[in-house]
Amino acid sequence: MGLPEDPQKFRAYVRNWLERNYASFLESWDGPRDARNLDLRRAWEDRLCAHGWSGLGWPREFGGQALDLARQAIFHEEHALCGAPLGVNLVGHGILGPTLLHFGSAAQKQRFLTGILNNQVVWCQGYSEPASGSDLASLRSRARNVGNGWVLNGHKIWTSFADRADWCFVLARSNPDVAPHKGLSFFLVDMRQPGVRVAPIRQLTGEHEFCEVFFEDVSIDADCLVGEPGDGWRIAMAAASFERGTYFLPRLVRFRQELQAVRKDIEAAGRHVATATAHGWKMRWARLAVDSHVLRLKADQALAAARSGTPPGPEGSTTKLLWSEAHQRLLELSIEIRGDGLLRPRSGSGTDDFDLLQHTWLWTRAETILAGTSEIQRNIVAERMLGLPKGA
Amino acid sequence: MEALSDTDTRLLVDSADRFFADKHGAILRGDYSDMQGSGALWSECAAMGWLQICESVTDSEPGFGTLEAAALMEAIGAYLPPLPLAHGVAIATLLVDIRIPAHEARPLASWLQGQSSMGMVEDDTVLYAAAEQALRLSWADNILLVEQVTPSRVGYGVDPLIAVAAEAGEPRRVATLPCEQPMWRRYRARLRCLLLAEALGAAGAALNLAVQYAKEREQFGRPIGANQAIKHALADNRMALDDARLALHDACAAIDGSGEAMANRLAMAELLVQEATHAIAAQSIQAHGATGFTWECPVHFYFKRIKHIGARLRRNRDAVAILEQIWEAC
Repeated sequence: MGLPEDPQKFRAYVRNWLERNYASFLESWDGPRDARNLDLRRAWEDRLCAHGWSGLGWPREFGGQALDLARQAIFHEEHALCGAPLGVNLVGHGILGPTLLHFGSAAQKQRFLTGILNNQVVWCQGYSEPASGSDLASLRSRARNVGNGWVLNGHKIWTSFADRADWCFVLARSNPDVAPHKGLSFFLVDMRQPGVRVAPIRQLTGEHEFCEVFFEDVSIDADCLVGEPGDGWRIAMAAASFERGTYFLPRLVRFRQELQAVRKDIEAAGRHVATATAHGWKMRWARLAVDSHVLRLKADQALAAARSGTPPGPEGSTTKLLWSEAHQRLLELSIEIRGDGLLRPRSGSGTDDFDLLQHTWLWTRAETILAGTSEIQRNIVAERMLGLPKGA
Repeated sequence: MEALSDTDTRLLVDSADRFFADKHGAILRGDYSDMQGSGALWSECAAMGWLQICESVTDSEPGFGTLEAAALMEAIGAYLPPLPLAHGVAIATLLVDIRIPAHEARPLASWLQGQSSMGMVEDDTVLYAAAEQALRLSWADNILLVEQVTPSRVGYGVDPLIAVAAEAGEPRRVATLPCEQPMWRRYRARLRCLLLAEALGAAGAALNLAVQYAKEREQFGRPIGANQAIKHALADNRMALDDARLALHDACAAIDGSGEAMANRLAMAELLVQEATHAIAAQSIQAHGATGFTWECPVHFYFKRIKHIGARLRRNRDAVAILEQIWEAC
């Protein structure tokens, strides 16, 4: 693709492309036009990848677009603005790809990057376990070295899209005799092989996005170990930082869009309620507008830090806390304004406005838990930014 | 104006730290709160050149602007000096903004050079009233009116370090200067930013005290800061402080830049600073336990400074008024 260098021109180009293509994509889409639908999300992601909108920051020699961070940010922002949903191979594009670029062998890059770029291979992330949630380093999945490879046994949980994934990157204990985080290794595991069992978990929203994954004597080729044995923790921590400049951008755009929608609701519904009630809504809305403003400033700051190569610090935790908790407040307000809507039968059509709102609202309960609970994030802030001692 | 490096700002902040480090004890003892003490400290601060920090904002020379002035003011605020430094910086910048040579506003000029010390009238209260005279600035019809008043019934409000008073007698006109409304509004906005920065400085210092105490104080065989009830509250304080600073610096950039959405960006910063500093004021005492309730533990000085500045800001508009403004503007 001959993409414009100039950020303004690039933005105009991306906006135009997305508007045209997302509209024509929806037109040609046979299923329900429900942006939550996973088939739709996958199909749209495929379309983006087919047109080269993947590997935006990857070097050209590996099929990437080698875009600078500013233009990557513009793409993510515009993509969210056009209303298109995020895909289902998010960890493939956002986490594993960059991880392989940094830590993978030449053979691993050769073998796996193309499948991510063209979205033919969907990845999931096998970190959490039933007994190791926040305390990830205590995980028990065991990888035994059997000479020409490894044999994996273990039980992963909260694995998003595992039922759709072709491959999984797994943190497993390769050495039980050293300190917990030193005995972990980072493996690439084929999900389509005997011994891998996936059991979807029904969420409180009603659908299944998370799964449990069971590994029983699963074989892993020797060349599917990333880095050296024992590098797992270091690689996983670095992997989590690759998206730091752009991760929150779609969420931020969404927040602003939802904020504007809530304002319209307040203006409409405010006429039918007591003055004090409407005033209360407006005050809560204004406070959320301040949160939105700070999120924007924090995103700019994160982008600037990523661009200048400053090593990632605990700022990701502060942004995650602010975004997830403000998002809950925003959706609570949004639901409250709808009065007794929660008491009416749901339409279940997949396109009903209030159904979608309820779904988003219920989902916000996950946002303060996944990818590090609010409690863990506050520990990180307290320990790394204030130097307070770890808990007993 | 060219952007200054973080290093330049760092040097500025270091200069404040070096200057105040050995005066902090005396400030808390009230040694600089009477006429003689505050006058001497004012002269020394003026000699540091801090009051003229923003002057290059208005010409094309690279130099410091409101952002750097806010960083400096925050550093200074941590030491609780009982001086109208925020006013000094804002007024010095206003004079350059409206292109008034110093000799045409002589009492202002000698004050800004540290040759005399002055209280400041805000609304109907004289603040920093240990000085013999106080200045009042007002604006109407493109005229800046500078008057001098004499403080009377001098005493102390919530802040035991800053003398406050009522006005006495007829104000004496010192100068009437041509000043267009945008200049006056920029002055008001800049002054507000600097006051907010001063409050942030006091809050940052209070938070440091609380964090230090939480690391050292042991109960049940471990530092109390290992308990999530304490560490999470302090983490929230730290994040609120950082967010408030981010918004404040954005408001400073609006003042020195195009002025786009200046009022709204300042309102947001003000809300966040008020929230953060009052939360820290409360939590820094709480984290100290019973010790925090003693006069000997310095944390109450920060609490009181935050309440003093907060009350001044709230006179203009409280949190609800700010939120209403944001609702209207967004």
